[in-house]
Amino acid sequence: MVRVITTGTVAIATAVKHADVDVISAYPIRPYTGVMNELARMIADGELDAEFIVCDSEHTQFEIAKHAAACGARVFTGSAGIGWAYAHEAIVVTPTDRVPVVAMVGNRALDDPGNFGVEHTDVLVARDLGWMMCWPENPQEAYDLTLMGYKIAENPNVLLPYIVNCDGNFITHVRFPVDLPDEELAREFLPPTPPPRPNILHPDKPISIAPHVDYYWGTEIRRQMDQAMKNAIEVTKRVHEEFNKIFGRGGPPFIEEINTKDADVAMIGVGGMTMVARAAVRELRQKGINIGFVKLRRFRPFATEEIREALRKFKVVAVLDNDFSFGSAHCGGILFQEIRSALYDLSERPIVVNYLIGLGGREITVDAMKRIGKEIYEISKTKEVKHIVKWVDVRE
Amino acid sequence: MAIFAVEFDGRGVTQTALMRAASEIICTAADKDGFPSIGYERYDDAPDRVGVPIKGFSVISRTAPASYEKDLEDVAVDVEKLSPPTPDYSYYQVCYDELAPEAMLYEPRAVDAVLVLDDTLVKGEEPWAYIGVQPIHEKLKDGGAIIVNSKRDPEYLLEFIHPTTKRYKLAVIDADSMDKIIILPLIGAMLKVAPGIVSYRSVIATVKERYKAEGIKKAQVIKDAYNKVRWIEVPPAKEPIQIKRKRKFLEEFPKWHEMPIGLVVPAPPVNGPNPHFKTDTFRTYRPVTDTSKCNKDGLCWLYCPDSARSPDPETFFAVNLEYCKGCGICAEVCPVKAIKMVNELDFRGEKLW
Repeated sequence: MVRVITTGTVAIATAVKHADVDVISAYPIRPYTGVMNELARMIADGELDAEFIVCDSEHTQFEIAKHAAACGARVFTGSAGIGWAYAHEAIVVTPTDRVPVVAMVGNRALDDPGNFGVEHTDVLVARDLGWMMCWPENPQEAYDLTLMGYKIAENPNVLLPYIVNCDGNFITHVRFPVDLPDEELAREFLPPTPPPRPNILHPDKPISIAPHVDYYWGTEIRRQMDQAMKNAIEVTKRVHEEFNKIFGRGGPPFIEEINTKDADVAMIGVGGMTMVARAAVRELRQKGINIGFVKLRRFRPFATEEIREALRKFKVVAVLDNDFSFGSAHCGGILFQEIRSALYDLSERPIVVNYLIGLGGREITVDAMKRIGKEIYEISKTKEVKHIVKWVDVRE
Repeated sequence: MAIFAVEFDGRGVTQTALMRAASEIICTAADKDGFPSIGYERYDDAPDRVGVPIKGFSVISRTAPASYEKDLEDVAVDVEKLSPPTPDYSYYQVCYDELAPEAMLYEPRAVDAVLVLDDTLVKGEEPWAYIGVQPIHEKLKDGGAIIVNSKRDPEYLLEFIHPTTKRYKLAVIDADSMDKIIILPLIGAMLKVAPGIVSYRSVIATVKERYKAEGIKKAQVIKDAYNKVRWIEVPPAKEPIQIKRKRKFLEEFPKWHEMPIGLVVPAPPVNGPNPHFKTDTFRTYRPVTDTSKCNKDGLCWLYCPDSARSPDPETFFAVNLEYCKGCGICAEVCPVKAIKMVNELDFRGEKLW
């Protein structure tokens, strides 16, 4: 194990190297570019033996990743913001073809020209398509979740593509202390050869992937994918357990509860904002406000049971969305819609409110989180909700 | 427990890699002191544009400042013989908890030292549209230090720095003459002028490790700068000055309902510059025309990539200095060599604020 001070992009590239991938398809877009730069360097320096294909666009990039994976290669690709959006035709078909592509998305605003600040809407546009999605809190976790990604995606009961999201700038570009394990240890967790699966293109056993499909087949294909996503919950739990055993870190698979013991109220969110939330919760607790934070590590599959168990004990829950869904129920964020819906059929459920925070890459501050904490604590006392959805730090 | 931060101010392309190296050296040294740190370059900057002012940072969380007395003892030892520190990591995690939320900011809230790689940046910087000029001590804590790579005296540089109610040290080190990696003398000077951020011993160990075969030589540069640096104490100004063109975004930018919808901005005046983005702080050298040599062929006006020159031959194609980036193309294309590029800091006595 060696501690280096490096960015999330380099941490992810290192995980990709440790996974011994065969094919990397690349096309630059900030903030993803750092990963492909680092992988290119690794190949040039002889640290990694892989095909590095520089594409003419993100669309080609995701097509190549999909096709290489269909041939049984272990692949890595990635993009951000509008680049990811441009690749959508390939992105839609990748889970349908049931190939375990692993991709990194450096979350970026959609898309005020040139705004590369973090916003999660870019990846959440694809939330319904069958990609697994997770958010690391820091570069260390970015390494961990990437390595785990291959193991989960390649499981024969899953075989769905997997995205590691990374908050643009805050995780992709900020250098943190990261413990990088030895390659042997990583290989012990993730062997270089993926487990066998039936849908591999090979001349010895000719098959055709994705022929013409009509309404005689469509519903069943969707149901298969539905089953795979359901299976992914169990598989993710097992993989996390194994990761924890080998590396001595990694935490629980879906949600991590921070200071939630005896908490009356809680906030829930994903990604780098957890770092801010930890500090805000600590400070609010010192002032006698019993508050906790629930970190949602994975959004797909959505661990309904675990989330219900975690949130049912609070009086008020504030969902912090670094994304938007214009015109949706209450005009709230995407996480909000889903978390609120998951709690609906509990006999006693918390009040759920929504805060839209950090949009367009605006800084998420400890002060803002403390304001939210105080507001929901107030709601827990008065039971009076003035705004179901509130915008944070907007000039108004 | 306290957060310490160092800021690096430099220019796009020519100094981008140096600034990253500076941040990495300080962060690695902090780790050798037993404390966690983060490092980054400002995300909005366009470091691929030559001359654009850019910033980088190291942010460190420590239980206590590094000891100045210990540093003095270590400086007395030959760099070759100075052993690496044996860090105690027992406070690493608590310090990390304190540090982590700082990673979600584009700039630290305050910095202890500002390392300036190009001395013309002391006039302030305006990297993007609409924010105006940010003085060099924008983020400096009261009592902090500004360390400038310059051949000039601190008293001379002070003429170009915005007066402030903060008290600070202004130090000068002629880094260009000491090593081609100019951040090393700046870091060495910082250890002396702004002690406590990281220890001298850890920096020496880091530099030795980083530059391998040249390690001892580079470590010696740190030590030389430590001994050579000169500085003055700048007393606080009686009252803060109104800084020309400076805007605070949360307070002074338009509200959401005041902004035009659909990302519409007014076009710049026809044949005129963009009034919301003045690019004079990109400039290290200023073009000066020798009117006795000028043959009024207008090539300078024609070639100026920023349309910063007037088309009027009677003014000798006068430069609008609010927009000239100092690229030097006009001087290059002038067939009679009438245009000279002169360092910005040679222009004393101009009204700067």
